[in-house]
Amino acid sequence: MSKRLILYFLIITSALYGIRYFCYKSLSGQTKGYYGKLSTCFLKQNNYNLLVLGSSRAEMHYNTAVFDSITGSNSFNLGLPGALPELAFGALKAYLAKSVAPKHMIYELDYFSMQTKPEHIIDFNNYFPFFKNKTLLRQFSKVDKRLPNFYYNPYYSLPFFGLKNLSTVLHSRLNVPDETDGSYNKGFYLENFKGHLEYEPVKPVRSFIHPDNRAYLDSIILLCHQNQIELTMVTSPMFAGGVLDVSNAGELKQQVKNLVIVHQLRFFDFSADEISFNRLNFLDHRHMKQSGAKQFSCKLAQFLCNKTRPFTLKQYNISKN
Amino acid sequence: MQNFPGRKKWFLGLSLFSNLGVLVAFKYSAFFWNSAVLLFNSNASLMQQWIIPAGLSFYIFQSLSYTTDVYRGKYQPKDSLSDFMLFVSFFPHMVAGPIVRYQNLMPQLKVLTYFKSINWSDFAKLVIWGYFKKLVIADNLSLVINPVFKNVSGFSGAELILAGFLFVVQLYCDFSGYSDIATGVAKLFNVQLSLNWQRPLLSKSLREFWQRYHIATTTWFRDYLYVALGGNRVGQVKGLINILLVFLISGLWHGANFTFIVWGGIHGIVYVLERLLHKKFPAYKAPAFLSHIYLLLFLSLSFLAFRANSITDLFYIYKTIFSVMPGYFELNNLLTLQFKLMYVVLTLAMITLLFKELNEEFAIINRFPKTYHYTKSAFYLTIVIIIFLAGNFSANTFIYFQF
Repeated sequence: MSKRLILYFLIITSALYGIRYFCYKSLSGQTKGYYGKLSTCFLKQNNYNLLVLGSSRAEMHYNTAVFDSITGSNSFNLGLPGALPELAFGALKAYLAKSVAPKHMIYELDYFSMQTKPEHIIDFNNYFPFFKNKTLLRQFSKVDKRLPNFYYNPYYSLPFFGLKNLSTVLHSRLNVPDETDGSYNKGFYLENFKGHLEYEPVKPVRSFIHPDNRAYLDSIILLCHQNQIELTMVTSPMFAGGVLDVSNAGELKQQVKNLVIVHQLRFFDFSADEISFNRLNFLDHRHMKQSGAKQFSCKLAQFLCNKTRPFTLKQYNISKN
Repeated sequence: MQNFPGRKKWFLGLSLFSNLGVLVAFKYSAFFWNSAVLLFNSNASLMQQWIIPAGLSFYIFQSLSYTTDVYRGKYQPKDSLSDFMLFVSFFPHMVAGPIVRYQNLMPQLKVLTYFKSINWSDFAKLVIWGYFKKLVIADNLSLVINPVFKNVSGFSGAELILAGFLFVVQLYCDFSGYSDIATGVAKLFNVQLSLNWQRPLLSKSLREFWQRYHIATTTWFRDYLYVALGGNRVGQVKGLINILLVFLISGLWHGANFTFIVWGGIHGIVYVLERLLHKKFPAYKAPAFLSHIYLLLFLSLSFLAFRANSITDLFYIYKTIFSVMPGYFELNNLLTLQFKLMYVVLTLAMITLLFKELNEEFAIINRFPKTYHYTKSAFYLTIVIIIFLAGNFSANTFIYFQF
């Protein structure tokens, strides 16, 4: 009986490792959609001159096509869902491990959501195929301690793999276009949600910047400095300027201003821009729809170029006004 | 009861009051209070539904069956309190049954052979198949079904009937999956739990369905409610009313909502009609194929009442189903709720379920003794791999935990 049990265990384990290898190979070879984005970020050698870093707000608000057309740059959006500074720092480090450092970087400084330090990465299973990039594994494991176990042990990782990913694998292997192939353009998430924000009163909370998040912001700034990346901090629009969610937005903004003064950075706050007050631009309080993102990207790009001259990096100085 | 035989009724009453009191307080107080407030248009504020302890009904039913059997003199109450508590709360089946009778479970618990001479093969087969039904079929089906019942107005009549059918399969796989896992785990203690399911979806009539579906609870209602009401010893009409009452109470047991009462009522009426027809035409046998279609269609329609979120939703669903309008047979909305692979996997998984059930019903594989063992091993190994690959591990509960 025990011999048979061992045999069964070996068969199942080998099968799971085999399936895992097959799936990860397919996903890491993707050129389109979400996995195409992760593959570009963490496995390929890139030479983008403008990089956007941050959370899902970065991923959904900075339309790279609009940026490129207005500024003449070659940009890529490295925004990842739930990426607070620690994760964003890890992603940037993993990106730099493979790619040439960009000349410029925009960091989406979401100071409305910095009060927590999560111990788990959102959709962590999606990163498994890209842990061939050891910097990524090392950095992300610092945020989510479960990752090495999950990565190396298919008994842990495959239950999180999910049918959705399996669908992408099969589409890729059978060379059949997937519905989600066109959902990303140079890292920018082209959402196609039909609804728009329905206003629901929420009680604003008092927020703060967690010390660890502050420390990792410093690390991002230092890493940019070491790699000679010109860093610009931007806060994209929040619905109604964020006052519905956070009661002390002014106080937080002052803290951020202190940070950028200390590090002599540029910081542009669009959180209470006029775009913020049209609910048709929003999906929820923190995320804009494509229409809002387009307006914002256009505005930011023109702002950075001072609306007149073609994009050159020197022109960032103009926006100091 | 044993020491004071003259006060047996008092003790039984005390047991009924304390057990049912807890059940009513947790499950029905908000329902009755709120119904009264709305009925009398009172200004009193509505009550919030209490959080119900997982599997409350199951251990209450288990202890009620014990006290009732002692009252009926079926056996003497000679066990200690700790034995009784172990009998009521034996963990593998505690939260969602099967409800096991005292005479079946207690003697097994007394024989201390835990982890000795375990039948690993039976254990593995039951647990693997239970997880397959739960994670691959039931939980993936919930991803298709839940959006339908959240927004019933967005779907055609045919889609609602199909959602009803899928819900029947989901409920069966969710609940019987739990029972399989519980029965498998109990085998680690050399405890054999009662048979709770006998391939109910292969039945040809509602009567047969209730003989095969959720057997432990159905027989509990029969033995402790139907018999207590007089059963069929009280004349034909009263006997039929008793059946109807049992179905209504069983509906209300499932949840404090009018939808469950409707569900119980529909099943009660059709059960009674079938019984009357059978009595009138005892020799008549409908073609098997038509009988299956009849039952599946009836289950699809009636279990919509079980799943509907409110009575308003339920009336809307039935109105849509029973009024022919343009686009009645369109399935587009249902088929675009998830990506294509989900539907392929669900179809294949349900076909696997059908073949497994047919095999159990007609012992097909047993006819090939040479390849039997290899086929069986290969089947379960494949099922394990499919669970890892296609299981939905994000749903954290079983439907019947709430009952």
